Amino acid sequence: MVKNAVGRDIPVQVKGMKLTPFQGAFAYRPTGRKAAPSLGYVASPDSRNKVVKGIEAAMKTVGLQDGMTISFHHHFRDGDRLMNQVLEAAMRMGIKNLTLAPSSTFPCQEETLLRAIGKGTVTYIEGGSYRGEIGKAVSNKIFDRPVRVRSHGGRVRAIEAGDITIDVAFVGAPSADHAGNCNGMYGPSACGCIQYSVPDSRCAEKVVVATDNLVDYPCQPIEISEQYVDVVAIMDSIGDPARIVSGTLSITRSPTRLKIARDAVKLAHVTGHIYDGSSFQAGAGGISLAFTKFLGELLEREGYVASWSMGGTTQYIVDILHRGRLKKLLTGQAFDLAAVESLRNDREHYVAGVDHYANVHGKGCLVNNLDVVVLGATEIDVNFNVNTVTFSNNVLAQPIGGHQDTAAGARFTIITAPMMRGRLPVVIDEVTTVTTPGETVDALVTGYGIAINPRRDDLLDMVKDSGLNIVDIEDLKNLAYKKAGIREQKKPRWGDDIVALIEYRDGTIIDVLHEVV
Amino acid sequence: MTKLQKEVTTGTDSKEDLLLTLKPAPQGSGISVSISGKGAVQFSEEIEATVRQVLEEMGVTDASVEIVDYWAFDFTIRARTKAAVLHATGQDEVVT
Amino acid sequence: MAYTLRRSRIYVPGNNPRMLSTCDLFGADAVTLDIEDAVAPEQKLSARWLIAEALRDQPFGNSEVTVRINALSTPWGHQDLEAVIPTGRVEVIYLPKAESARDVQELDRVLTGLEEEHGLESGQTKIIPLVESARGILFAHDIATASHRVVALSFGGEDYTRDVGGEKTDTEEELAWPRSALVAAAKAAGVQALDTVYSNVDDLDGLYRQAVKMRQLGFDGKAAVHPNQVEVIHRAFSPSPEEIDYALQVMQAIEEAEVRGSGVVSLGRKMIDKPVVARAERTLMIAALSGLIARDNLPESIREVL
Repeated sequence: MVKNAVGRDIPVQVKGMKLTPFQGAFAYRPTGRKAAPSLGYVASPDSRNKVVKGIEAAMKTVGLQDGMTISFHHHFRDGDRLMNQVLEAAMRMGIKNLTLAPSSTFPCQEETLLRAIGKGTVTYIEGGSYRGEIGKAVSNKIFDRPVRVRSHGGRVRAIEAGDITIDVAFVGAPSADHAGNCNGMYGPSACGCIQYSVPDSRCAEKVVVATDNLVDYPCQPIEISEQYVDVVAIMDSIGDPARIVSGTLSITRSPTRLKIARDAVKLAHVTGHIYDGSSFQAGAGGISLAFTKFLGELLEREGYVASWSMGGTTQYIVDILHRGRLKKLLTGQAFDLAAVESLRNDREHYVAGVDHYANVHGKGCLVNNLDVVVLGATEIDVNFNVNTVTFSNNVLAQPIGGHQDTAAGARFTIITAPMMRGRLPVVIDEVTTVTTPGETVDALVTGYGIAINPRRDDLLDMVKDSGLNIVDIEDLKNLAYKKAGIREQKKPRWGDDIVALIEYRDGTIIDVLHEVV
Repeated sequence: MTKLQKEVTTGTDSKEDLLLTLKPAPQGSGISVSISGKGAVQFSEEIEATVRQVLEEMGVTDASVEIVDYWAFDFTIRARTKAAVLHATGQDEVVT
Repeated sequence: MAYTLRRSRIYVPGNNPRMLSTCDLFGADAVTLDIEDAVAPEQKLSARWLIAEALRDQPFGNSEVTVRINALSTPWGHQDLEAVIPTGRVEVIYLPKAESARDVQELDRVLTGLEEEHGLESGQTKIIPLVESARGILFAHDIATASHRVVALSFGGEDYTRDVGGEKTDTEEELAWPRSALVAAAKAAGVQALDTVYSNVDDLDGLYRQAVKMRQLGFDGKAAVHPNQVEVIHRAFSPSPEEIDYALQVMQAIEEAEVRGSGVVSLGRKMIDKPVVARAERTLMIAALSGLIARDNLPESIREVL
């Protein structure tokens, strides 16, 4: 056991895997070269016919076998049909011991996936993001070794570094031509873009583009080019259009949460992180959407035009773009129809890769150019360490998303959260699971006050006369405990075995998760 | 000593509330408390302590209590327990 | 004389644990924990104890802590008081259906007894009678002067309309006279006047316009039935920058006159007499308490009183 830089005990190795403990947000330098697939060969004419009918044919063509790793993007969200069809086919074909490497999973996939695990068709999920029934299954030790929970940037890093070796990448493509050029922008299953598959397509040994919409050559725009594609599978349906853009996308109506959003805008403004030409990013939770809306109102009032923003794109950011208060909008994933439409129609709306967004092993990334980011938390502690993956019951519940990446990159990182969730304090002594280290977090905004990280005492003067309620994070914690009627934090109870490793974006281990009792 | 006359349920399943069922128990059997629901894992110690304290304050020595918790705060647990005892001992009769 | 800001009060149904635990965040000048109209008869016992226990250990932010009990003529009123007063945290009791000085005096007696019994400062619990009937309006001044504990009169519009057999209209002109009558009675008695709820929670613009009208009538505040209404009500009952400026000028003129040793104070071509001064002081007091003006910018005479 070694204590890492946030004070968590990390085993030196587990189940034969050597682990590097987290050393600080900007401490650990990588070595090595990028992973890449075998060279292709397209000279001969018979290499030009890639089209097959149905997913089983595609799986046979690429030689899908026992023990392989297969990957998927999650752009179809809770309307995905591709992964289920692949898993059903694999179960029918009697394939075993597959490792699944999706960028995320959704409820519509859980039943099929759990069945595939039960049958031994899938014996590991290489993460990624775990939530819902899959997260619960991981916490109940469904696999024989720990999974790795990774941020968006972290997953890309792992693929490019060869930590995840993908044998077959399945790319659900709403539009594709016979050669495999494809995009997520057009077609009956249009989802905006398919950027989460781009790293997969560059590093996987074989790439299957699965489409329900074959278009004339050359398909435009091209998100993934034919250079990387082995097979084009024609399918009846890869996603349910009615559910592709789903999830919690309504702005919060709670007066407290609205106030938190308003205060966050004000805080970013008075500290000089919203100005004419600034950049911003907010998540897609209820408070973040409200932040985006109020930010738009501030931009109008002050006559500012923001230089760029990045999404997780929703109608609220698109609205700011349409009002002329945002010069350029970059999208890595589209959350609603407004975002999909805008990607098609608006000149200043661009697709941006998740590697460009957040991969720490590149020579530049988008998050490093952000002025302000607004993020959520399940828990936050007095050292400003943030938990986004578990609640105090220690069950793996939610993804990291872009949390670690944006927090490290942005000049100003704001965490917005209610001080309590029901009786449970959100502000506590030690988070159940460290996801994002406090050294990358600048401020916490709750309904009971705003706490500034002592590392940022340069900001204290700026907020002094702002009318914002600035408090000490220890006082917030004490108030939370007082309301909950507890004197000290209740430590969660857990079992002996480690079921998940929480990776930091640089591949080091920032925390571990034990099985639930 | 306060003697319970009937079984009573107070509370609701709304957020931050609890469903509390108070049953009379034979004299000398003491207080038994069982807790399930959302906050059961994290707060069962506190919930049980609060229930026992209120019962003691009100002089109830023999009872069985079943709780389904929905993240209720201490004040809610106290109030629901108190109301249950008052109902179960006929002290909820309106006094004019 | 110190001024208590009562621009807004939010009703919190006593049988709603979630609202009891979160009402400290609504930012209202007062919270009114309700055992009366928001609670059905079979739930009143539960609501009473939920409120009493919440009073013991929940914070209420910067809001004045008030409780609306059931009328003392009901089967519940006395028990309500016996449950909440001993906590020592009730600052104001709202007395519903107040129709006579006697109603108020009865409450006063009960409060005095309970305060003494539980070691509380005598007279610490204030009373705000709810005037919501024809008799109440007609005897409003008697009600307002019935006890030193009375700090305001509150108007209940819906119950009043029902009592006189009238009908609620969009313009609310059926409430124009009782509102003015209540304001006159309250101000003649030297207490505040508080208006009734605006029930359309989705129409915040309508609320703002109506609240401004109530301020113009002389009301000091309004009840809110939803947290989203609080900020709108505060805006409506806050002095404008122009009013604050004018008030500062008035106070300045007075200071200058004092320095000159002149008994006559004028501002421009206007004579400043006592009502103008009183209004200026009140404006600055409210502005200061509302955070619209820094304490350092206040004239000393006001700063001392705060």
